[in-house]
Amino acid sequence: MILPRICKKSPSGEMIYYTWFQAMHTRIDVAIVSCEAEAFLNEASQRIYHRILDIEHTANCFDENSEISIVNRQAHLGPMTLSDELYHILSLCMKYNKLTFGLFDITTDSEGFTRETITHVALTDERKIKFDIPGIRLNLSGFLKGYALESIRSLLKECNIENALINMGNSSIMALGRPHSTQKWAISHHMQNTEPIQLENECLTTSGNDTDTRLHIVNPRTGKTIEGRKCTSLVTKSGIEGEVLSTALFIASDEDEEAILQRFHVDRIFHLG
Amino acid sequence: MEYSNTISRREFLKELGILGAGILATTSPWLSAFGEISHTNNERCRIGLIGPGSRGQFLLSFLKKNPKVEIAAFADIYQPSLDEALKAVPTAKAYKDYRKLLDDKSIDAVVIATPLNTHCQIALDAFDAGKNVFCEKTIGYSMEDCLKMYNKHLETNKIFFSGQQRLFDPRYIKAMAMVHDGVFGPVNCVHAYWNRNGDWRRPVPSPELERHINWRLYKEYSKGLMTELACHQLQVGTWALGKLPQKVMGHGAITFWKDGREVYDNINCIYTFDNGEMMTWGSDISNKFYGLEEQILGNLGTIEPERGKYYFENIDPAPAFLQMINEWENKLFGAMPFAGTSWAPETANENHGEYILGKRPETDGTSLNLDAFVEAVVTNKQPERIAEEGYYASLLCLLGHEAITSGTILDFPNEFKIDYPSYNTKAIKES
Ligand SMILES: NC(=O)c1ccc[n+]([C@@H]2O[C@H](COP(=O)([O-])OP(=O)(O)OC[C@H]3O[C@@H](n4cnc5c(N)ncnc54)[C@H](O)[C@@H]3O)[C@@H](O)[C@H]2O)c1
Repeated sequence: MILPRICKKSPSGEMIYYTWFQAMHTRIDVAIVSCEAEAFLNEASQRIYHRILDIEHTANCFDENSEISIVNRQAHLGPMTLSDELYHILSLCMKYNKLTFGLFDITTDSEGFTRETITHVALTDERKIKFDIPGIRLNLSGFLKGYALESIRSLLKECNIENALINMGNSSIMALGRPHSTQKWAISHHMQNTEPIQLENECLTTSGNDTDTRLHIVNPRTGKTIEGRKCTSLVTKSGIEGEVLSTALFIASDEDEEAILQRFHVDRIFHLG
Repeated sequence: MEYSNTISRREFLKELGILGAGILATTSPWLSAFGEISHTNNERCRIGLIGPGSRGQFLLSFLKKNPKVEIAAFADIYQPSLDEALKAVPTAKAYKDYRKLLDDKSIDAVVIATPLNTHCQIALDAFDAGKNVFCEKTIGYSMEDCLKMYNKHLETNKIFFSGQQRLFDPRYIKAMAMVHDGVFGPVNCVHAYWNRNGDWRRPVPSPELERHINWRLYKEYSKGLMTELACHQLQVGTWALGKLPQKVMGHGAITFWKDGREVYDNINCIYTFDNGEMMTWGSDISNKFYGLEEQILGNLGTIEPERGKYYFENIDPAPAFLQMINEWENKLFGAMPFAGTSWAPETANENHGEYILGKRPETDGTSLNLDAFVEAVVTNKQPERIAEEGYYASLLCLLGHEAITSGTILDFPNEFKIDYPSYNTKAIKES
């Protein structure tokens, strides 16, 4: 697919290049500031697009042909061998489950979910997975955008692109470098009337309820959705940690929050509602 | 002088927002007319208006506001038109015969807004009298007329503009810059149409004036919808595609308004290009539901410049990013207002498009077209490609008319091809 793009060049030869597309059940906006030729940036954005499609094909549980969907349908029947990428993703998710005291949990969509459900997911060193009980459904939605951001970061690095802003559906934003030497990337939050959030080599991730009626984040401790709180946004170095922690801290009690923050570095945190 | 500020080139370009000067120079090179606008503040241009009828009066309303313009004289064979014009500019001279106006050596330029069949002779005489010429579209009644006019402009080295105001309409200029920049992918098709529901007649004070007032309904004066309406829109199509069609076919009929008129009230034409691209033009004046539009169809998106909007095939660009790109050049952008919980894919299904200029279109290019003409006259510089655009717009509608009347598929005739620097654009290179 040819991606749409809009670009503008400054007299000094620097260019702002913008492309956007829909993938992973969301919209993705990529803005790059660079002195490279447009054709080079076209190539870079094609690579980003195809990388995202690969991730989607591996790990998007809304796509019934994705690898994760096949795992969800078959892993209770016997051990299945995973691709390197899915194995890597699931290993990370299991690690973050422990590090967040169980608050970040990819099994909350499972039938008869309890906080023990995740212990029935067995990952082995031979890249195999098995569900010990039927009804488990892994949902990576609360992880994948951050993972995709980190993948895009690696691609841009390979292309020597240092200044870029990547937006995954407004909830996960990665700001690399700066748009101008004198300015950081400035983002304002449409649910929060605070000063614009200034970012440089940082990610801004938001988790929460889109509306009062669309509650989708489940507290693994209670098995219930979160009411009352609207959203939690935080600024982190890593997109993956931003994704994991925004969910965990949205759910967390004050004590949990304190404990989690001892384990991770979060630069800024905003709770709303 | 407040007015001269409002037309400064910088302001105008600011309206165009996102564009760099480079892409404008290739997409709309005639904008160079505004290059010296501030250096010409003390210059004056004495204009004679020939045919101050309905369009002529409208043009006059803009010319009057331009401080560089002095309206010196009017010429019209119809006294009520002269009377009306003198009400607007009582100091101007008034002539029944335009040749008297041309005799006035102090007049620098003429604006011709008479019925189509009279354009050619008036323009040729004006060039010969040493005048610069702004002629309303369609420039000539026949292809031969148009070529004579164009050649006379070259021979006399006088400025030649036509009433193709879309060439100066910011939303068209910006849309074309985006098209030529490949933003919407290669353009494969342009659907242009102009529909109305009305008999296209004007009230006639007494019966012997019928043909004089309703000249556009009679063959002797006009070729009807093709020359009066298609001319504008066909030019938009070739501007977008960056090239001229090779073949034309069409059909026309008097289907609904069988009231003694001699020109079609229902027309469809197809223009085909070297790579298989097509441009259609249609008009039906018994139904106005779809109004007028030039739908420019690229494989990544669609532009509807009349409505002032563009649409992407998949999802629209994010307004916050568009704003950032606009502000990036000034190194002065505010925060991008978008962070929050997830964007919902459902909203992408309603494709309402974006305004090309970021807002509903407010004006057409008529006043800037005239301002550019005045600038060209005072600097004595013919902007690149402006006469050629007017020439080819006229040829295309006349060729369409000929295809209809002859009932044949016509090739673009070689004898009417003039030097027309091709657009060197990304979209075209890709296709
Ligand atoms: N660019 C545009 O969007 C646009 C819009 C409308 C009309 N037009 C063009 O403007 C021209 C005039 O159209 P209009 O609607 O104003 O017509 P109109 O009939 O209202 O005005 C024409 C005027 O010319 C006068 N006239 C006729 N023959 C003359 C002659 N030999 N010498 C001097 N005066 C003469 C008439 O008396 C009348 O006053 C046409 O070419 C038309 O296509 C352009």
